[in-house]
Amino acid sequence: MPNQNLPANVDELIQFISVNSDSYETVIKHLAPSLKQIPQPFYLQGTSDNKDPLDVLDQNFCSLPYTYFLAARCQADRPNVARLIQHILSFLTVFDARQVRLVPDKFLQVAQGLCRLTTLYGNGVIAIKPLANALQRYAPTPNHLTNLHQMFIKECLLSRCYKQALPILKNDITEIDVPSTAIFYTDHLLYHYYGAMVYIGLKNYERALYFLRLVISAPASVTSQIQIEAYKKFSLVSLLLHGKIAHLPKYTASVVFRSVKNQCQAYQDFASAFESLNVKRLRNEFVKWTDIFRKDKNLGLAKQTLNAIYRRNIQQLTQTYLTLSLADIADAVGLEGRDAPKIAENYVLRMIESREIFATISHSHQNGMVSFHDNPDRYDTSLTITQLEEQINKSTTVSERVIKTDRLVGCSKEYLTKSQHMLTTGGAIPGGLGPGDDPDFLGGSAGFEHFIDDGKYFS
Amino acid sequence: MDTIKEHIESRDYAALVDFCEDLELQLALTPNVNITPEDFYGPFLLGYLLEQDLPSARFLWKRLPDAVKSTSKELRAIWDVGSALWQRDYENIYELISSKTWSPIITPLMEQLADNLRERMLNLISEAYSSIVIDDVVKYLGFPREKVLTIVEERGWEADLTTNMLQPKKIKVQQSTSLANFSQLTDLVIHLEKS
Amino acid sequence: MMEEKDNVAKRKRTLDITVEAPNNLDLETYISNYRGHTKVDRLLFIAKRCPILQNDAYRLALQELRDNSLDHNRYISAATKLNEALTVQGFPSFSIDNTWVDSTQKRAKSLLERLEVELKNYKNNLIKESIRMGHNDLGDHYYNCGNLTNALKCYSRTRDYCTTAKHVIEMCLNVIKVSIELGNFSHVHSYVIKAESTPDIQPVVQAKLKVAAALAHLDNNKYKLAARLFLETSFEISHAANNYSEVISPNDIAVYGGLCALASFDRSELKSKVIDNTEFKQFLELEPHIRELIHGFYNSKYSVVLDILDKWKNDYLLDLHLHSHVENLYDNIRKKALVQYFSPFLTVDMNKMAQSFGTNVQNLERELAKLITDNHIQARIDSHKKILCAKQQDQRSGIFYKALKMGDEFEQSTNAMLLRMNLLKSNLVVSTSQK
Repeated sequence: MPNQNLPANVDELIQFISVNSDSYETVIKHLAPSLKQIPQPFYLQGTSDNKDPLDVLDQNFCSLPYTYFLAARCQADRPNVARLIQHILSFLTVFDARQVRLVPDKFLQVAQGLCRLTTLYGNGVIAIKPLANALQRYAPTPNHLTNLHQMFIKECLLSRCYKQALPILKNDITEIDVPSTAIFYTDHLLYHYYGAMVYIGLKNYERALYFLRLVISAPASVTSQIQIEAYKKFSLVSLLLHGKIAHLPKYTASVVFRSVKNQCQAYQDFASAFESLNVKRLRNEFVKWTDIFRKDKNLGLAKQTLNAIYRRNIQQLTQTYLTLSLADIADAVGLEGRDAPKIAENYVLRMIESREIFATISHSHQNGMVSFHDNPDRYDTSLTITQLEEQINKSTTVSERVIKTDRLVGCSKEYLTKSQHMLTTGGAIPGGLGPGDDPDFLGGSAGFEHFIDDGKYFS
Repeated sequence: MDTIKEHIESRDYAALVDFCEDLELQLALTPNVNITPEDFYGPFLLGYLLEQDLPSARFLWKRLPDAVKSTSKELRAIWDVGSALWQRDYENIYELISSKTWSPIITPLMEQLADNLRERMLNLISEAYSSIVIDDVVKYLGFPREKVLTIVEERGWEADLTTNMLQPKKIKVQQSTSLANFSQLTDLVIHLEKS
Repeated sequence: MMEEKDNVAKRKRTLDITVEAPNNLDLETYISNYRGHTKVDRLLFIAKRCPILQNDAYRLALQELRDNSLDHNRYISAATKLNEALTVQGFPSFSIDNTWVDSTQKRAKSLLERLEVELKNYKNNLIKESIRMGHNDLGDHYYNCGNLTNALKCYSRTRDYCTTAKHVIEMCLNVIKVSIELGNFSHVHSYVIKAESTPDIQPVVQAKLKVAAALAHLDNNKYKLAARLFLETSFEISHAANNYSEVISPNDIAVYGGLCALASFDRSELKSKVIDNTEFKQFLELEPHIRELIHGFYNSKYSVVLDILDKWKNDYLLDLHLHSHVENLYDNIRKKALVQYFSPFLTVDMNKMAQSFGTNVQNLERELAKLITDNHIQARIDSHKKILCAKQQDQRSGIFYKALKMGDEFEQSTNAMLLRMNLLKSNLVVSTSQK
């Protein structure tokens, strides 16, 4: 689109937009390149008959130009806050995702603008649900990461709307499409880091651990500070869940391993104190590193481990004893003082409630006696079948995605060049995303190998 | 407000919470003079507590506008109950609930909360104890001794007043053995064969 | 790792304990089994940690030094220690044979000079065998004088002049002997390997090498490896002409081998490698209590086992090579006994068990809890009824649990891998170049 054809004023611009918004093709072909070249001030002005283009343009048909107008106004010095918020909110419910994805940067500016405006307006909560809904439509699939993801989760954290982040967080990110989402590696790191913080706040530590692991094991040639911070949380959450620092995938960058070793001494010392299951030692380490935990904003998590060590100790006892008196339990887990048996009883009771252990307390005997049982779940109910079925369905979905990716890789130029090269040099043909390439790939679940039989997709 | 009342009456607390989450957004955008923060945030907060979503209740309390927090004594009192739940300070909860006169919209919710907690405690005790001192049960239920004895008797627990001891009756977990559900199983196998 | 650290810590703790009196040891009979350095080493070791035997041990050591060595330094130092002890006890002091000291000093010096000159001549003449002999003689002389470091150097130097397998063996045995005395057991290993790689080794040499290697394993807390080698040792080593009394007595082989085997073998190994081992039976004849110990253990007569162990503990604590391992070995034997005691049962009365193991129920409970935690016993303790119950495995539930968990892990790790692949494909790698 040559320059001389560019609209000369807002009236012409509106005209130009309405002419070229008929189909997605014309939008891409004519509208998109021109809008990019139009000077910013245009997008701030009204029409000659004093109308606001935001009122004139159709929010759905003209989603692309509308995004430009909104983005410009969000960045203006003195916006009409209430009105602009209304415009953005209604736009977010009707926009045409395909058009918007042509200008991910502008769309991000709109989203950010909304957050800023609502905060100015007095309550950031306003932005959360509309953004969540918009994000779900904006992302090409629920498994795609977009440039909006991390700012949305951050906004949830800031406005203390943790629960509202879950509809987004529950989808595992597996797809990356840079052109339509304008993401950087930081989007991946921050999204999963913030997401982990949400899950920690909601006490879903399993999921938090998964997110943190993604951050730490992200492909890296240098270590990002986000990865260091993720590792710190990772170590504490691991302790809460597993009593020791959980393993990291083998493909974690060695530079990251080195960095955490050098920069997370406090956490590693603390973890080995926890692993010893020695309450006194853990408390000493806690006192020693309190300032660091506070500075890292991990004091709350660290404090929880002080509590968790008793639970871990009691868990251990269930492996060793069938019955044990409350006094002996208190003694064995490192509780002290006159109330120790009572405190032990409280721990046992809570653990029974949360089904961490299976036990019965009896007060017929002096001081109270606890009998530990095995998990009474015999896995013979319809629930088991349902669970298994769900599991298989999920696995199949995942496998299908793997197969799709496998085909894509198999067709990619890089792969073909590489395998051609291997053939001529007499090397083995790499099996694409075969399970044999990385022993960690199946996470030890060898039983699922038949899901990914790479051979048949190449024959 | 009517919707809130409806949800409270039908005891559909999940719907109550959902509705309040949306209403929170609306009110933030366009304040409604007919709805006082107390009327709205009180049921909202209690809705989370009744749903046993303590983290969300906590975050709601944290994000409440300071102006609302400082003016409403009742909201403060509701959160005191919430924070006792958070700390699992069960003994105090009943005291906190019964020592106040709650506004009409809150009262049924509070009663429900106490009832739920008692039910939870009774279930927990019957699962966790083969014998327990009566006074402990009194604490866990927040009822006078006599009332406790009536309640547990209804549930078939045995009381031994000489030793001051109760023997809770285990709740039978019904396990529908359904490996007999053969078609499901075959479906699974077929599915595995396919992939 | 942890266990290793534990072992080392335990050994350190027993390093300077005092043994009031031996249970069965008769010093003169015991020490007559040895000759040379080890005789003196053992006597001085006993003198240091057993007050009752102190005077006799020093006297015997002094006599051995004066009669059979040129080590006047050691003679004087031992005499000084003896006199210190005698003074404390209010006895008249031992009169040092100064004439012997002076003459030995001179003799040693002139002998050294002569040997050095001879060696120099041999070197000039470039006769390989003479040079080897020269180094060897010089090594022997240093050894006699108690200069182990130089002795080792000389013996090692013969290496380049060895022309026959016999020479190599001689060199190796010399180096091994000195290294054992120096406590340099890694050296022992490498020279045992060197010696074993020569052709046509005589059985008695083979036996010596096995014993030397076994001692090295013992030093390294590798009780199982030590036990195997002791048990493979030919009884030829006990014959007067072939004996290894400058290092070890056949009685020691019975004791070391027996204890190491008990501490590290399972029941079937005990039967096949120890009880049915006709060669080792002959060693056991020398120390009947070890034989009794092994049979007692095998036949599950634990009170007998503990009784014997208890009765001989002090003697073992006075043994030059064994002393620092006594606690470890005893611990292991007790653990194995506890495990074996329980193995045929589904439930065991802990009161009875405590009786058999000479302890009270409380301590037994603690021991058992540790064994269960460390996964040595698959059981659980009924602390209320004081019963130990075997753990019942529910295979079926286990499989369901695993399957469900596996599914979760599969989903997670696969999704993580997909994300990773796609990140790499788009070149979204943490680096300094971006943003």
